[in-house]
Amino acid sequence: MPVVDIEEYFRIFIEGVKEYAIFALDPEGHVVTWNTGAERIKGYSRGEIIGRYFGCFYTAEDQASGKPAWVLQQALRDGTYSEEGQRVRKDGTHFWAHVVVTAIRDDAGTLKGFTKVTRDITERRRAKRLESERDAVRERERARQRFIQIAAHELRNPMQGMTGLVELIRYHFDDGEMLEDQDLLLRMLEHEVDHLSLLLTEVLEAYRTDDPSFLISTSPTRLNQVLIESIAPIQETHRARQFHLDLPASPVMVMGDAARLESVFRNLVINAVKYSDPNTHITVRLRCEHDRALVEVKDQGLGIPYADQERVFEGFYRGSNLGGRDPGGLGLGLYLARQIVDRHQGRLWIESTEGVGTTVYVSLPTLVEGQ
Amino acid sequence: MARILVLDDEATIRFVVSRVLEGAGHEVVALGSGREALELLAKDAHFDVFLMDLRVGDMTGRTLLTSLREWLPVIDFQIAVLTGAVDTDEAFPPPDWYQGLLRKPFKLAELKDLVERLVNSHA
Repeated sequence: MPVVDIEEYFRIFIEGVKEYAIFALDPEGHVVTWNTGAERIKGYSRGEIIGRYFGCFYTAEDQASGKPAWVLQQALRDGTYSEEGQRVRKDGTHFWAHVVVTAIRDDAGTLKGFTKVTRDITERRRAKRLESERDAVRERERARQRFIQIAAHELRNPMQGMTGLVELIRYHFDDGEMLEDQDLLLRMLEHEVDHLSLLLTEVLEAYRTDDPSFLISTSPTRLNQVLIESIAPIQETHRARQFHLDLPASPVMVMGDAARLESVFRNLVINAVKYSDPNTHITVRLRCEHDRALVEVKDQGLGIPYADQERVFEGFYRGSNLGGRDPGGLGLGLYLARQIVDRHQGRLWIESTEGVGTTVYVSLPTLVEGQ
Repeated sequence: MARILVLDDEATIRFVVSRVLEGAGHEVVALGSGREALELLAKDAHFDVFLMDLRVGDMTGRTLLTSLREWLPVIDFQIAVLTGAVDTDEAFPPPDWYQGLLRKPFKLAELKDLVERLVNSHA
C-alpha cells in the first residue's frame, strides 16, 4: 500500500476548493497561502497577494476604522471570529461575505498565524431578499383579501338595515297611512346611517394616515376632558358595564388634535368592552410622569396571545384566540390609534396576558408652559 | 302560516325581517347570538324555516350548524343563509347544509319570496 502524505493531501485538497476562499495569515495579518477559491472570489492571483496585508479585502471605511486589526484581536481573544459583511474584490467591486477567522497556535500556545475562510454569499442574500419581498407581497395580498372580506360584511349590514327600513316606511306611505312607530323607524334609520358613515370615516382615515406627509393640526388640549368626552357615549350605550375613570384633579395639557385623540381613546375603550365579559371592570387612568402624560385603558378580558401583540396594529387583523367570535368593526381601531399617537410624538403599546386581560398604554408629551 | 327562527346580531335587521315576515302572517322568533339559537333549538326545534346570518358575534354559521348537526338527529326545517360575506368566507357551511341563500343588502320582496319557497318545500 502506498504511503499517503496527509499534509500534501490536504494542501492539494484545500487549494482545489472553488466555493470557499481558504487562506492563511501570519501573526501580523499578511497572506501566506492562497487557494483557487480565494483567487476566484477575491480576484487576486497567488503571486499578487502573497505577502500583502489582508486589510485590502475590507472596504475603505472598515480600513479607516481599523476593522482588520480588530478582527484579528477578536480571533486571538476568543479563538475564532465570524461575521457576515461587505468585502472588496481586486477590481474594487463589493460582495457580501461570510467570514470565519481562526487563530492558529502551536502545542506550546505560541501564535503561528490565522486561517481565514470566506464564502461569497451575495447570491444567497439576494435570494433571501427576493424571498422576503415575495413574502411581503403575499402578506399585502392577504391583508387586501381580509379587508374586502371584513368590509363586505361590515358595510353590508348597515346597508341592509337602511334599505329594509326605507322599504318598510315606503310600504306604509304607499298604503297612504302614517305609521304608528314612524319616529322609531326614522331613528333606527338615522342610527344605521351614522354607523355606516363612521365605518367609511375609518376607512378614509386609515387611507389618509397611511400617507407619510399627512399632518394633524394640534392645539393646546386638556387630556382630562378628551378622556371624559370619549368615554361618555360608550357609558351611555353600555350602562350595565363597570367603568372606572381615574383622572388627576389638575388638568393635563398636551399639544393635540382633540377630535382624533378622542377617537383613539374611544376605540381603545370600545375594544375593552368588546373583548371582555359584561361583569368585568374597565379602568381608564390618566397620570403624569415627568414630561409625559400616561393613559392606561385596562380590561379584564380575553387578552391577546403574545404572538399577536404586534400584529394587532396591522389593519384588518383579528386576534387568533377569538375562535368563531366576530368582534364586528373593520379591525382598524388599533391601527389608526397607533398612527394618530405616532403623529403626536407619542407612544402606544400593549401589555396583555391571555385570560387575564389587556392594558393599552398611550404616552404623550405634555405641554410645557410657554410652548 | 309558518314558524320562523331568525338569527342576526344586528338589531335593525332582526327588527326589519321580523316586521316583514310577521306582516306576511308568520310567527317569528328573532335572536341575536349563536348561543341563544342553539339553546332554543335544544328545547324547541319546531320551526319551518331557520334564517341565519353567517357571522353573528359569538360564532360562524359553519360552527353553529356543525354543533347543531352533532346533537339534533333530524333537522326538520329549511335553512337559509342571509349574508353580506364574500363567497370565499370560511364562515359558510357546506352547500348541502342549507337550502337558501340571500345576499345583503336584499329587498324585502326577495326575502318574502325566499321564505315562501322554503315554506312550500317544507310542507
